[in-house]
Amino acid sequence: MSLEERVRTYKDRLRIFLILFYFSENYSSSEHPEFKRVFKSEVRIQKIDFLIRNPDYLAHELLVIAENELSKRSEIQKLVKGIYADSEPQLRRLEMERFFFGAYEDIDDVILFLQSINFIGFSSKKNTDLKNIEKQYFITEYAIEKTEESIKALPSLNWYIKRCELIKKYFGTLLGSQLKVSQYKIEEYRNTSFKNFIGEISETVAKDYYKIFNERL
Amino acid sequence: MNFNYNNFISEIHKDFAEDFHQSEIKSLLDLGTELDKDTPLSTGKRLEVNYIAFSGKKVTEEKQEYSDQLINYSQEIYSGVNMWIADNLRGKSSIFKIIKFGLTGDDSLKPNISKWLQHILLVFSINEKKYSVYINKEKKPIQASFYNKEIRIYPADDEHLDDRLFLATSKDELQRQLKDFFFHQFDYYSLRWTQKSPVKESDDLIEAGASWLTYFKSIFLESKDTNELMYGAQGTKVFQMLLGLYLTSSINKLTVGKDKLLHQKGKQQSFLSRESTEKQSKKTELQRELTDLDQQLEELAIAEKQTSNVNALVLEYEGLVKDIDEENTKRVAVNNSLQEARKNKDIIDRRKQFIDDEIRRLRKEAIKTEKQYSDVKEYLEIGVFFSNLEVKTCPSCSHPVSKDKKTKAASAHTCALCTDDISKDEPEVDTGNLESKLVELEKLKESLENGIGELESEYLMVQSKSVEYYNDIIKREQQYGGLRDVKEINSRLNELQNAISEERKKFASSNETKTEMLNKKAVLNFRISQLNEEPEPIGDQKIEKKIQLFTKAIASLNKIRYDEGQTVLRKLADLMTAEAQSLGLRITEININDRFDIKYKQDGDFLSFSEIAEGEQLRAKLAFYLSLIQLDIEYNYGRHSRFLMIDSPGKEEGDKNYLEGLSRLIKELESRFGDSLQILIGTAERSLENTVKNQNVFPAQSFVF
Repeated sequence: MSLEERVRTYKDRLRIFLILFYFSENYSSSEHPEFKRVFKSEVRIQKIDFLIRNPDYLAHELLVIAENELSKRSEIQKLVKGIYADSEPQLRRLEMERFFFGAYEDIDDVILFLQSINFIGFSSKKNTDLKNIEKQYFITEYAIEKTEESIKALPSLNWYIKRCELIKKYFGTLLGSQLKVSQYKIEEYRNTSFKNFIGEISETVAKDYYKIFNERL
Repeated sequence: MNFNYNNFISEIHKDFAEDFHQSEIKSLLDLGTELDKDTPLSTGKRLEVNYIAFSGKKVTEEKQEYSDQLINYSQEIYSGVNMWIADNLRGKSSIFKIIKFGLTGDDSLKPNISKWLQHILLVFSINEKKYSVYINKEKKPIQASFYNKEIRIYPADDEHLDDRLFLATSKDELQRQLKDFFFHQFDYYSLRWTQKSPVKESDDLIEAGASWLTYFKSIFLESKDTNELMYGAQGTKVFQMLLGLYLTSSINKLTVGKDKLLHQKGKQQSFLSRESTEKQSKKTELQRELTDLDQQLEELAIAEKQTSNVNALVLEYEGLVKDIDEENTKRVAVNNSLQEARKNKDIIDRRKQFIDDEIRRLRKEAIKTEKQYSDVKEYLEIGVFFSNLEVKTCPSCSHPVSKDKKTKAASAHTCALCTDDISKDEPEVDTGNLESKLVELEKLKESLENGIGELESEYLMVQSKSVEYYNDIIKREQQYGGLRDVKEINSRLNELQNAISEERKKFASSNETKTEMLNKKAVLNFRISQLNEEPEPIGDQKIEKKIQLFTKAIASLNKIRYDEGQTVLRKLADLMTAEAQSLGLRITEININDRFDIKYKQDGDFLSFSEIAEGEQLRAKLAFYLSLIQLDIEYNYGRHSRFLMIDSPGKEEGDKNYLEGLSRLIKELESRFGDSLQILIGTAERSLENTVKNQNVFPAQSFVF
């Protein structure tokens, strides 16, 4: 396995775990007392992952909010400016392919790995086509301990934590399907054909930013 | 003969080395075959007339006693002296002229007598060989046949065809054929001379040559030629031919050449002098025209002064033209500097673009490096995080993966979950390597940033330069825009032009005249100046030298011929002296000089032929021809045909001594040379009767035919 592949593998594992970790809700069950938090829907994982991996799309979504909510403008202005000042759209970008229902990447391996190290639990129902639906991901107490204990000591992971917090702040309440709808409004995203990478939209962002803030990114 | 042509040329060259190369002299004095043409040795041939016959009818316009009488004359003629004795005007001369006609083709008969004749037959021989000439005058213009044998009866057209040497149907052809025949027989050739063209107004020189007829004058001594020894200008040519001295043809050729050169020189000179006279009179005429013209121009200038208010307009016009010129110069200068500034800006902008592109490229590179850097760093941390975690549950069956199981798997180098062999897998994270890779990437990042920094500062510099050029361009464009508008000046110019041309129209006619006069003046001056120029040398510049060369060569050849010919000439002179004395002349000595002039010593003086008393000239002449024949017979020199026709030798010389001398001479000739020559004598002198045995005596007042 090449370094690049390895890096990808570890990155994916971390990102997916962090999404589950930060975007899950408290949970308690007598059947599985070790599960402390729950995350529903794979689609939601995919959509949040897309926002982490494409800072330009995140900036776009933020600008949509800024357009509608005056009160959040100056905050969002700062955020978007920061995203671009740090060259995030180039540095942090990890392209995703378009699937039937938008950005999608197979995360089964990651989920199984996380399961094997007792970080998460997983449940699902089968529909009439024997497809897994209503996927639920449970965070174990062990995972929460481990994360709190060591993850904060790793400075390079700080960006992910902050980013998750940011996304949670603005989009945490949205379901996967809602996120999907808003992403579909973006022309570039919408027009990307099946199995192709979804292109960047920095130019659109810059234009919109200028429109809203009368300032160049 | 001892003559070396090359030595001769070398000798001549000595005197003309400055002017001619030896090869040039050789080509000028080229003698070719001429050198071998002459020999004084006799051919040993003699011409003898054997028989003459002619017929016809005496047709006259006015009735005469002999009108319509038929002519039918025939006569045997013998070797030695044959004499026709008849009264004057009774046909003796006609007999000789008919013989001449037969031998030369030249009909010199009186036209009325010639008309009478219808058939002429002449038999003659050269040595023993017999020939016949038959002239049929009934056929027009003429028909003459020449036969290789003796014919005594007028032949019909188809007779003796095998022996016919030629058939001539014109007198010219007959003459040409006979000339060829006799020239060949007696080794004669055509000695040449030059004469003026018979065409009026032509100053050309044409070349003529002696014909058989010319040489025949040494055979037929006519009474009318008595006071000339050698028949006019060509006499000495005949004499030279008869003597056949070495180099005669060569000298003749060079003499003709010299004559031509003299003529050419004359033409050149006359052209020059004519040209000079024409020039002088032309010049006078042109000068007069020029003076007239100057006067007219002066008058015109005075008239012009009174009417010139165009000058102010012209001055303004010229001023404006100058202004336009200046404006145009400025315009060109500003435009050039503007172009220059644009070019500079273009160059700097291209540089700017290049830097910009390069910065972009480096930034991309830097981002890539940065991304790699943070990926590796992240990997190290995440890797540590996850590798500290252990597999606890099988994600497939959810069974716990026990410590014991894991220990066993580790010792067996297999996966604790799938039991695959992992002995050959690389250790997952080689932190040492990655740390050093991070250092490398850090360095690369730094150098890229430095590069970008440098480019950015150059970019700033270039940009400010570009701005500078831009400002410069703006400044020049403003300057250009600020230039004076020449349209305005141009329209004023047009106005002025119109005004001027209006003004000028008023004086157009006088101006035209003036231009015309000035042109004419220029032409006159040019022509006068041309006339003042020395004439170009024309013609052959070396002609004088060439003439000198020919003169020298001729004199030199003449001397050689004369020296070489002394034996022959001395013998001839002695023979002539003896003959003259036997004819009763008081001549004591005869000299022949190198120009073939014959001087007769009489009473202590050397006289020329024309200086001898008239009554003695015929005898001197006879002495001359008889001596030529004797020279041949006795010494085998010369080329005389040994045939003479002497018409009326006693006509003007009633001198008793002469007649006695002549009679004695004839008798002596008959006895001494009767077998070697033939002389036909026609005379009215009855005292010469019975001098020779072959005589045809016609009674007083009777016709010969």
